Amino acid sequence: MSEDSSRIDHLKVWAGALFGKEQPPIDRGKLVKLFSLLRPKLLRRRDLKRLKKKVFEDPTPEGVRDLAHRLLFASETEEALRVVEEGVERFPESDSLQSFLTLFKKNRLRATIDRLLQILETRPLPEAYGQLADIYRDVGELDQALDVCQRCLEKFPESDIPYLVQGKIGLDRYKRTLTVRDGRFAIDNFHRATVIDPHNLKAHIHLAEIYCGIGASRKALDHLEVVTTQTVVDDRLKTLEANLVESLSSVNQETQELDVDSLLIQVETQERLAHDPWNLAVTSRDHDEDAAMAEFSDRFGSLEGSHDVALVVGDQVAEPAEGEEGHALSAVVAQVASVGDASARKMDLGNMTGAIATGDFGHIVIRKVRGASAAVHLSDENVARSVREPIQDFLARHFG
Amino acid sequence: MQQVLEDLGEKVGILGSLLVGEDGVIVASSMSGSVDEERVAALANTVILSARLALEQNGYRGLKSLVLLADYGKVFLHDIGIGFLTVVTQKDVSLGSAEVEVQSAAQKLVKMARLSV
Repeated sequence: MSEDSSRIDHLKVWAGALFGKEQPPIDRGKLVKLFSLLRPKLLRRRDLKRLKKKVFEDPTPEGVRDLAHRLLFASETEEALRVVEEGVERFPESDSLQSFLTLFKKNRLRATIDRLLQILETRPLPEAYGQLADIYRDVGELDQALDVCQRCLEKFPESDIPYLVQGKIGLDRYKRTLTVRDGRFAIDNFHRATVIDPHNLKAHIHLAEIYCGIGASRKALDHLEVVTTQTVVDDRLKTLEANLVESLSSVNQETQELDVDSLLIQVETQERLAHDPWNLAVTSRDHDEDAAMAEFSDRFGSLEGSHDVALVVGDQVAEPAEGEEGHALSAVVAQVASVGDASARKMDLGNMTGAIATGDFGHIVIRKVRGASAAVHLSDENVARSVREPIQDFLARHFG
Repeated sequence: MQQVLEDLGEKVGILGSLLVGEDGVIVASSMSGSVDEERVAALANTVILSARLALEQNGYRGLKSLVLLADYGKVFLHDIGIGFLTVVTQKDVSLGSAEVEVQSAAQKLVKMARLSV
């Protein structure tokens, strides 16, 4: 029987049920066939629903990535993008999520980039340069974004647009590295934008954000006031304002009197912001180091060829119970992280995010997120390769 | 040796490479203009000596290579007997493929070093 007549029969069954007419006899064979055709799709939907629930209840970078892959497979592209963006926001230190998002956006924005490049060839305007630089920034092509800003500045030296985008690039970097260099770059560029156009509200908001982050609350409020007197304040800005008022009362007088450079140095040294501008709580997440160590030890200590594991949080060394080797590894982690961080900064490479040592002893994989470092000592090279991202994701989840 | 470093520099994402002697002196170099090679050599030497010391003091002997991962790049340090091959790459370079390139260059340099001794 043809597929069309099969569909008609199927419709007849439903029409009969709906309008109370006598139903034709049900062909069970056809129903079974129909169900077997739909089954894989239904199972995929059910799995997807379960995975969504799991990721929502207990988000991890690995879970977010897995969910995004499945959503893409199910052609739910927009939902996949939303999931990855939220994942990156929640776990900004996860390199794998960041790369996933960058690649995803690059593919989506390819056509827009080509169109803007064409426009710039015939009619170069600061807005088009700004849009293009912003897209490059968004997809993580920071050198290209800066290059577009420079080209714009050569043609339009009085435009505030390239300074705004350069400021945003600096701010993106600053959020990740917390180095004086990136913080200063962001502040200088936003300032320049507000000097050229004192009504550039975006630049004022970003200045308020960065000043709030480093603890220069008075300066932050000054910039926020420029915004609140000129536009309707949304919930996000209300939170920022409340956070600033709160921080003014909680931060001691000595800190308030420090200049911006001193505050930037303080943040770089402590490896954490004084305040999270967009949340009322202070930045540092409450860590339960013992629980984190137990989970880390469970997960990575049981790998094939794993000799020992170590987790170092700030000055605290969380060690596995069965001591000596773990202690030695913790000492190595602390020393390598210290010298690696200092050297990476001096080489203008930002902060150290990890190190991999190979020798007669096997392989030691170290990953670092903010003030927390974790390491696994392994004998197998392939296992050592496979743990790099999971360790980073683990740290991002607990300490990012 | 210079040719090996120059060939390495032509690979995608590699910003430059140096051969640094155990005493921190540059033996050969192929760095792009924007990179201060003296600075990189000094820092690479500090990293490798400190890491080796930290490892040996804690019972991990025979360090052969160290890869430093950072926000904006990666630094590969590979023991070649007469010193360390130091390679600086962009951040987005795949760790696996860069490792293969660096190891291959390091093996060539080890052979050359043996012949010249």
